[in-house]
Amino acid sequence: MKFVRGVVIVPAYNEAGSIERVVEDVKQAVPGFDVVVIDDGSTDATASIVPDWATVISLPFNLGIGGAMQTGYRFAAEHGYDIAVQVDGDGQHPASEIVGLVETLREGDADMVIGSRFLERGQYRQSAARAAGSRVLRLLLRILTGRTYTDCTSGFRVANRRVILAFSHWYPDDYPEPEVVLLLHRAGFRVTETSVRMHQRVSGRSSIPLGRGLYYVLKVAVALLLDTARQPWPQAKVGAA
Amino acid sequence: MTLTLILLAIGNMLLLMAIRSLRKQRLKERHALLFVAVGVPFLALAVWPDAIGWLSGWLGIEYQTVLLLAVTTFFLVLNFNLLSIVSIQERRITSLAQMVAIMAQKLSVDREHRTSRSPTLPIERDDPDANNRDVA
Repeated sequence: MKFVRGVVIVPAYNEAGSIERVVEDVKQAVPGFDVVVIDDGSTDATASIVPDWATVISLPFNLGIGGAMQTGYRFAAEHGYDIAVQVDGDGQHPASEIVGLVETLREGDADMVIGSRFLERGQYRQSAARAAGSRVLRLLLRILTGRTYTDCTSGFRVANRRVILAFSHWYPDDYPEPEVVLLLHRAGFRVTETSVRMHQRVSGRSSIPLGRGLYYVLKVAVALLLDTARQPWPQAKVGAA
Repeated sequence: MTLTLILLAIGNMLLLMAIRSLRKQRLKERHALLFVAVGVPFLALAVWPDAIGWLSGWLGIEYQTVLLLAVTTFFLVLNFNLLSIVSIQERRITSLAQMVAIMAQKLSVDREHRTSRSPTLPIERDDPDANNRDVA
């Protein structure tokens, strides 16, 4: 089997309560992979808590999840990584599931694999409001792509070199997950899902509080519709499939 | 008379804002030109209040409200232009912040490497054979 260089990107904003455990768990699960924590302008001790062996990139100010993720992908592109894994810094994504995600990427035909909470029924419970919002976005993506993505809002993902290059070139700003799925699909990338378990948050604050859920769904729905007129990743920048 | 004073005040204010911002280098020339382009018509209207009616007639616009709509559209286009400038700048700032953060990380790694690789100089007074070697 060909040797691959992998990196786990952990975006973190004020995650001092969970970041150390998340990073240690990742190292234990995939010891051959490097870990890079993107400190997104945290005002707490997030950056200083990260163990020395992990790379910390501290953004000068808060860019939001899109800007932080893209920083990780830029780092991965510059350092020649073949595989990049996205893991949230809040402890929701169990590191033990990374191996499964990476194997699905390497064995299958996919350019990006999404870790889905809902591929197997009854695995993950969410509030009625969140479930309704997810259903709307799932339906919209189904109309726009012709495919069913059971968990398009999941940030637990693994990407190959082509996607790393694409993301380092352009990445959506706010609430990027569903947009990325549509844009990759439109650009000819292959996106699949695999079932994963997910924890509830260990600490910190969700990037989408419940009260802003309606705004989130509306904003993402409009962005998805606008994305049908976008082509952010020209072949010249990311290479042919 | 009141209308004339109001129009004079608005026109002068826009022109003064443009000049002041230019002097303090807070506004680029091309953007200041927009203020001048909007301020001058206000002054013209103060001096010649019937200009709107004359302009409507000259352009063949029957209702003056249509001209008002055209002016509103102009401001909307202006606003759109400014928002697109802000969006582009925001993208550039994001990109710069990302590059700065990645380069800062690279610099700190390089510094660590240099520190760990710098040879430790022998300290003569700690060398017990140093005096013997000199005599020999």
